[in-house]
Amino acid sequence: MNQIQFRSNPVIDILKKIPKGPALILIILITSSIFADFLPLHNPEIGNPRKRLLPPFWEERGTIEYPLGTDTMGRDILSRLVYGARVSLIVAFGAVIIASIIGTVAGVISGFFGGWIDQIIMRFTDAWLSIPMVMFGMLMATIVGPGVFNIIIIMSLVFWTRYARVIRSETLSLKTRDFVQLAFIAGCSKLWIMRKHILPNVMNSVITLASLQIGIAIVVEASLTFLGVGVPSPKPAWGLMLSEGRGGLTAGYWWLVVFPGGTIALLVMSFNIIGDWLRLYLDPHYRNIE
Amino acid sequence: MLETSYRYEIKMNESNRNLTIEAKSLKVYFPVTKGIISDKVIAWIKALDGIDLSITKGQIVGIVGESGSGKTTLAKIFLLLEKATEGKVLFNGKDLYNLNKKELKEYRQSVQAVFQDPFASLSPRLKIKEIIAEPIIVSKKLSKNDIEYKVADLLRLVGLDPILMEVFPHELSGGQRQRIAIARALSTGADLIILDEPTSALDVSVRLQIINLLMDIQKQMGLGYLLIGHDLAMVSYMSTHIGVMYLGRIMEFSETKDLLKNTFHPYTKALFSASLPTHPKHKKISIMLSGEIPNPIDIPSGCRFYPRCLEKKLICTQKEPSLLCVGDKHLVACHLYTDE
Amino acid sequence: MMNNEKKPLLQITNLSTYFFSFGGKRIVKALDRVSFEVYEAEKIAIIGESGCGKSTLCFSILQVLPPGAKVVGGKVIFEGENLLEKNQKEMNKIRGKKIAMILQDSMVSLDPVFTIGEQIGETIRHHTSIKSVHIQEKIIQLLLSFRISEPMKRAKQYPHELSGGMRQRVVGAIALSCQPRILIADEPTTNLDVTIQLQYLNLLKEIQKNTGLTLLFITHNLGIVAELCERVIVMYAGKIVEKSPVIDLFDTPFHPYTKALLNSSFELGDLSKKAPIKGEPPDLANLPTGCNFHPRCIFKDKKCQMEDPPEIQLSQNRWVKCWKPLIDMK
Repeated sequence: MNQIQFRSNPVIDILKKIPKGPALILIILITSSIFADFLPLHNPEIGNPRKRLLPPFWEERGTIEYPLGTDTMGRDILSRLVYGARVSLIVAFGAVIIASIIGTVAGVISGFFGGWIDQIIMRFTDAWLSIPMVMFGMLMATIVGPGVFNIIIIMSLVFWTRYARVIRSETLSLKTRDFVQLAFIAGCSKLWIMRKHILPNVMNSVITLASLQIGIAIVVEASLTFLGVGVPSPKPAWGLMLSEGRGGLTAGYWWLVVFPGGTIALLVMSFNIIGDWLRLYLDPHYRNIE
Repeated sequence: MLETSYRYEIKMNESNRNLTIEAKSLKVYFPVTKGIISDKVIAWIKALDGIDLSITKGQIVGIVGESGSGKTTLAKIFLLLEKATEGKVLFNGKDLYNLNKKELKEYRQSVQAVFQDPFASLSPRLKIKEIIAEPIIVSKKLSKNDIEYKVADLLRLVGLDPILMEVFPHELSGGQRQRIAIARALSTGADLIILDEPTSALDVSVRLQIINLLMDIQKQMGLGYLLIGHDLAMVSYMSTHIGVMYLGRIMEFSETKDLLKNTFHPYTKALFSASLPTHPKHKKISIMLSGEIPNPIDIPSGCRFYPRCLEKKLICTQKEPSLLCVGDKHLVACHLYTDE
Repeated sequence: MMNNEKKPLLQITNLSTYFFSFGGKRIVKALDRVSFEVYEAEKIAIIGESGCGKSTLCFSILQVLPPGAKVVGGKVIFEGENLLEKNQKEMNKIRGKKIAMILQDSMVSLDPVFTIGEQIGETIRHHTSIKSVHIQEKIIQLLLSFRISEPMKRAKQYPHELSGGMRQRVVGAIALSCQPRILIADEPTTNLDVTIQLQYLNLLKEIQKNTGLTLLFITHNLGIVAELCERVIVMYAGKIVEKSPVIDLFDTPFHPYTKALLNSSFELGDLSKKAPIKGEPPDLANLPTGCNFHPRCIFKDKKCQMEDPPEIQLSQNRWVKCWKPLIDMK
């Protein structure tokens, strides 16, 4: 049997096929945010008031010491961007991971058991979906107070419903497949079937959904922070940079807004492209088409 | 002859006693509901409408029928995937719906299945080893080491190299996957296997391999099969007994050799006729049925076959014939053979 | 039946179609230098298993190949012209009007949101200039010719309201609505119940007799071939291995694959044990050297493993591609 020899290494396969541009952007942003402390950056929270509102280095008054300029408190924009990435990514990943866990469990249980359990969970999900996201975020934030951890919890409470619906319909279709029926015939318990047959086969959808949601999460966090109910000042966060820099636009200090806004856009777009690619990449294998 | 002379030694079920499953006056009706809030039943899909059938270890009972005959529902009943609406289903005399936990576990280990589509029967994310071993693991009767030996045995038994244990289903062909499905069905030492169109989805040149494998295994291990199919020629090749189903009832039932010589029911005769010739010079006089196969929601009154029957009498439109004995263990449900 | 003074209606010469994937690195040779002729009013069967190329053959003739597949060589001569040289616009005039095709899955062939009548009407309107007034009549006529009861009622129904057998007849009616010269039928009865299949085959026979239609019937079922067709083309792994009139094929098959296929088919009443063909059909991207069938052939020798077998025209009607054809065997 020659089959095993022809199996390709999945890691190398992914490296060959992943869209290089967005992947590079993500790698740069993620690694620089993790290793921010080791990079030659300024303190993101405390600035030099005498160096406030300096433009980027290619402009007249700018210096290479503050490559992308400084804000109203004299803090280096570039450093705040890099440290801010850390905050945004932690919040986004945290929220998406927790949301996917809650949503997947709800979806699998709902789809698998059906009947009144399904009805209850689905009606609850519907009701939850009708709550406007940002308002809910604001309300919760005022109740529990600001903070990175609180924001993660609040956002995951907002996001889980999307997973629940998608995973539920996947579970429903998986339940009727022959191999699941055969597992019942073999005497497997419901828990076993959910664990060994349903869960592994919905993971593709979960991963794809999660990668697409990260972009949304970044924007939501930035929005909440912008509105003042997300990450509190003086922690570096892109939403804060946007809200603080907003006033400066009309005065001509464009770099206060363009760089954080542009970074958000770049990051979200990269995650979206990777997410789309991932969806296509994972699909054919799952469907057993060569 | 099996491709390997390896004898399948490790049996799960220590008992050598006879195993029988029976259906008695079995009816399975599915409700058709209307309305959004209140589920009012407006009609019934009569998938099975009074079945009496028994399968014993050592027999191969073939069931032939077209769409709407209920043959797949029959398989699901015996596999506890559907529940009977009326009638009894017995396992060695005990009511299947009144088994205690231990007896249920025993039933699950004794009755297994092989389905039609080899591409859908194997869990895509599990290795072959895990797929074949799953029923054994669930029954908790063997240790981990023993399980691996057993899986290797089973692979050899179905004509595959044990190295395939580490492979995923999508790396195998249809014929190989069906062999894996058979190996899995045998893993708990089941005495009765329900085969639902086991070769219909396979390439023509591979079908006979699988059929011969199934027959060799059955002979060597004295198993019982419930074989469901639509190809009368193939089913009669494999089976010791044949039942012909139409719209949820058995129209004729007998030993295969007898059925091939004496065909009584008009529907059976039509099925024989519809079985295409194997040589252009053997073209037969075709019995052509008129009309479509009715929907199981809307079963004709009287004998359910009468609208398409070419030999019908007046009484056929009024009364449903019961399954009666007309020869040596040969059963027919037809008014042509009752004195009325 | 076969008159070699008459010109063939359809002549296929060295047709090759390959499927390209993974950036051109994986090449599946779905058809490899296939040649045969079809004469007017003939009923020809193309028999083979899944992957032998029989469906690809039909799609290549009509130029409706899926993306990734390309005809890489050969000619398809119909009515004196090479169809492969035509562009899509010209082919649109041929598809449906001169050469029609019906498929295995009737549910997929019909548009679920239009009624039967509308779908038949659409084809007629596309290919002919019959006035709308007369189209209604023609639709009823067509449905009746396919033995569809209550044609007025049926014409207003949607595909999902009909049974499988009925749908397949509607598909046939659409295919023959513009009186094509050739009908290519790709396993139309595989999904039908046996009694319905019998009705359908008899219907086809009758229609063919009345209209002189040329029928190209694709199947894997030898029974259908025996029941319906006059001449047989046997395909294996992208190549034609045998061509013969039907009775000769069943009496004395020349190619080992044909013989093995005949030996493994079931006959009602014959309970003697049969020997299967060992192995499985090959992967078309990794074909064996020499003859494609040799790994499974019980007659093979060194030559079969090394060289592509020759094509041997044995008589006017019989042709085989084999190093060791079973010519002297009875």
